[in-house]
Amino acid sequence: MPKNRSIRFALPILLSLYAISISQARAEEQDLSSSDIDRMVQSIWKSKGIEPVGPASASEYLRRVYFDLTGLPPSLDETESFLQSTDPDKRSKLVSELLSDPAYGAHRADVLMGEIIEGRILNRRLPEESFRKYFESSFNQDKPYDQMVRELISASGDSAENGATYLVVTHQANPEDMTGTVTRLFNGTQYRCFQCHDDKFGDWKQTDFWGTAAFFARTDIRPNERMENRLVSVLIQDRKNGEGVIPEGGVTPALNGLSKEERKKTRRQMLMEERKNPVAPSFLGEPVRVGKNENRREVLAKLMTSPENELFARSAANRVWADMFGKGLIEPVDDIYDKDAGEWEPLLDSLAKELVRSGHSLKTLYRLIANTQTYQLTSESDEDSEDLASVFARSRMRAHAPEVLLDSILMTTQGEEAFQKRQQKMDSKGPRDRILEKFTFAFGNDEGSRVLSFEATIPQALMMMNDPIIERALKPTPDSSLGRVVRETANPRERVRLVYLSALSREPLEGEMNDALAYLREVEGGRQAPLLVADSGDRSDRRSKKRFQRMNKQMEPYQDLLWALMNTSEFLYNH
Amino acid sequence: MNDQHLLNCEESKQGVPPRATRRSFLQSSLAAMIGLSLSESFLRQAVAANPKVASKNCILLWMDGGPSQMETFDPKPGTQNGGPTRSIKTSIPGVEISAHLPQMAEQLRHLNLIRSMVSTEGSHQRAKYLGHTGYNPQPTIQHPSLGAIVSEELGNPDFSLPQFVSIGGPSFGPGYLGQEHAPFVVNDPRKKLENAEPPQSVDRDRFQSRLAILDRMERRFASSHSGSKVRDHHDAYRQAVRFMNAPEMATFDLEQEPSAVRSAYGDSQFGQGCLMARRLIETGVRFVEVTLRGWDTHQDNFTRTTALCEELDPAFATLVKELLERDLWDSTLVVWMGEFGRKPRIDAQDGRGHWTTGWNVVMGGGGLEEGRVIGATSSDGEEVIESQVGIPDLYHAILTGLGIDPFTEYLTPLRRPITFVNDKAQGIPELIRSA
Repeated sequence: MPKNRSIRFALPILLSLYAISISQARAEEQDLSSSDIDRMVQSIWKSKGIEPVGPASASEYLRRVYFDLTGLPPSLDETESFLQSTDPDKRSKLVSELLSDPAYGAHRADVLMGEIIEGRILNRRLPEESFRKYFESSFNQDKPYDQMVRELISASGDSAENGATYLVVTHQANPEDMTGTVTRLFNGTQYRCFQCHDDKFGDWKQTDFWGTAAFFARTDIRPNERMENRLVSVLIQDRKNGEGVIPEGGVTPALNGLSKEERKKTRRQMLMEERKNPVAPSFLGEPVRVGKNENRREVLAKLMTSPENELFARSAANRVWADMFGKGLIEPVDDIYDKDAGEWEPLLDSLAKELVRSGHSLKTLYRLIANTQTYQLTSESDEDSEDLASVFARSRMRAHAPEVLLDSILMTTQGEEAFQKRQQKMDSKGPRDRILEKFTFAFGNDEGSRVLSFEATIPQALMMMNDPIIERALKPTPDSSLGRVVRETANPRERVRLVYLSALSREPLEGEMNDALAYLREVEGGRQAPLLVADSGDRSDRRSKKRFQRMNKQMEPYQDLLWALMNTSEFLYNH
Repeated sequence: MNDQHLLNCEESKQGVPPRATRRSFLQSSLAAMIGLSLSESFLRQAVAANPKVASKNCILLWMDGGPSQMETFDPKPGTQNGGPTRSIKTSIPGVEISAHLPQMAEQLRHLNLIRSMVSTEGSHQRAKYLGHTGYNPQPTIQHPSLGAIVSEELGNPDFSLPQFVSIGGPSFGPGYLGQEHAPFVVNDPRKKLENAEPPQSVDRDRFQSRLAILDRMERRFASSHSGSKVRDHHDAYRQAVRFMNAPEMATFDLEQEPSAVRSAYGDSQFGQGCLMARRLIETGVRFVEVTLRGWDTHQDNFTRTTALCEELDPAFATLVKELLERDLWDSTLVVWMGEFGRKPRIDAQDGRGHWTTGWNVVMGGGGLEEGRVIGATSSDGEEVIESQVGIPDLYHAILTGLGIDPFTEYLTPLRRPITFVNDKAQGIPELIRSA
């Protein structure tokens, strides 16, 4: 980090000049296109002598883009129709469809809400509906992202009516906590290191952190409405007074472990400190004048999202890139302050500019990237070429978030219809959450920390192989994927094909088909599993259910195949 | 892993000969030796070929919620703050503890008692983090828990069972040390281990067939998708299957213990957890944490702590006794602690609030000194009047006792160098036996 603060402000300007000179070929006001992105990436590969891998097959692309844009795998029907389609534009059409699918907003909501709560625990008695609704509809409507962030930072009122209060509510209106999250998530600035001390290596001061915290110093949270001992909502309000202070040691003392007298004493000290040494609001180290009647949080929200603060769009663009490639153009994505992306700088700059030009439309960026050839490369490679993935010349293997993996298991085993029915029945604190809790637990189990992804550990492998959740999911019912497989055809070859399509969104290779058929032959009764129910039959009919149960035994080899496919890394990773 | 046996695409296109049987599936996979099928004798040899390295072990008895020092190891009978709790003499002359812990009173001379613990965190979650990692929670880094540190520093990576087992509680994760040092959690030691066997509806034969076909599928994918993720997957599954098949799995089966031993620990979850801890350490697991929940006694402190002590006393005392009898005491460091203590003043609901200054830790074994009492509190229990001990100091002492340099340096993901214990920690020299 530079010692001189003025460099910090000059840097973005220098970088943008650099970007302009590089991309002279394209007219200044013209929109960025997917092939512009490809050209920039390719020129870097060329300069480094890197040969990218080939393009992804239709299956590979289909599965990847589904996971990246909706957090779900494609259903069997979607898979078949996509693979059969001969439309040369089918990929870009698919991207448009997925971006207008409500699952897009639901997935983005999962991700951002997870980033915001980051291991904190929402009061268990507080309903989550309003928050989810806010995030899902904002993303689905493609609400300008700067507006959304302003709403999150400055939200007030009743939590049941204003879901944007999520950030304040999950942070219990704690100034230091909110400061850390907001600067990290939306401004790519890791300030939190300087909460307790001055920056040892750069020029951040502890007062820079607490100056930003001062924007949150007047915000209160209190229970608002209760119903039969259940908290219905909390109220977020701002006082007209109150100043930021730096508590001793840089951490607001916990009053919990103290005696009454000590507690009083601590409160008194804080108040005195507030009067004696108030910390004035500042943003990125620059003092900010706040009018007497202005709401401090609104001032911060405007400052952070204003066009003068290039960090905001850079941070957002870098995060979108990271969502799609499993790695940002600058890493880590929450610490990009004062960093340039090296040779990727023109690309990051173009993406950030495009975000602003499009009116902060995230969908625009997702669409642009999903349609690049770079995004459409394969993950296949016979050499250990992680280096290729690190320059986006090969699709990177990425771990699924627990909720994505869980949905993927349910969707694969239950089939789309049953999955949708289930989703509707499960409200946000319903059975899905309970399974998810167990699931997340197996993924690593600090009470407080969030496990971001499937990282292949013994408990996870044991769970995938042995847990009753998996076995129950595999049980064929008339509605399930396996139920459908046997209903549709009596031909083992065709059945194996359908199992592969359900699990991996692709056709089996010839060798795989032979392996599977050999397996079916060897396991007793595998081949004889007859056509069970005519397709037109009433599936919920009790008799057919009974017949299904009888057939379970003969379905076992198909269950085994599906079990095995779901335990492969091909299933467990996004690639 | 033996890469030579990975199928290449040419081979795979030919598929399996049409007359393949289940047996041939098994054999092909056995021949590959990926480890996804079992051969117990092979595993036994592997274990035998790894003679136990002379290394120390650690058992952490975690009192979740914050145990009252006034009702356990620092009672103040006859004072207003002391409440109805009486005290009894112990095997350390002149030292008395709560009358709820008669068996521990006998064993105390083997242990050391710290009565002047001071924590800098007063709310549960933060204090638990501090108690498990030696660090206050910090926004930008996940510190490894004690169990993960021990697993990393002392663990034997070739051992079939995980090196860090947590019984009855989730413990804390490995932070920057990496997932291979994450705790393996046993929820209730009295119940069968979760997910350690194939699901009920799948018999062993069928499970083997499943593994065989998985093995083939995975190889095919791995041969065209090289990289660390696929290797991690391979390793995790190999270890998981090895774990399922390991002869050491029997360690988790408490039925194998004589009923007299089982009942000596008490039938409680905690008691049986302590027994399982002893069995695991004996087998070669390096770190076991056993949690006793329910110490957050804001109301009705006296009834509740009495009941908790009834679980604690036989379990802890029998554990010490057995480790001594089995010659494991000098190699096994035992620590008893919670996230903080309870407020000396009794409140209106007969409860005690959180308290961060002047609470107890009991530790011993692992070659530490014996029978020492460190620190003291005032007669009303409200002040520490002698040698305060902070949690970093405690961590310094534990790690030193285990033969781990507390100032071992690691790089965090943000490339910041960090030591296991912060550099201001002083340790507790009185507890370290001079060589």
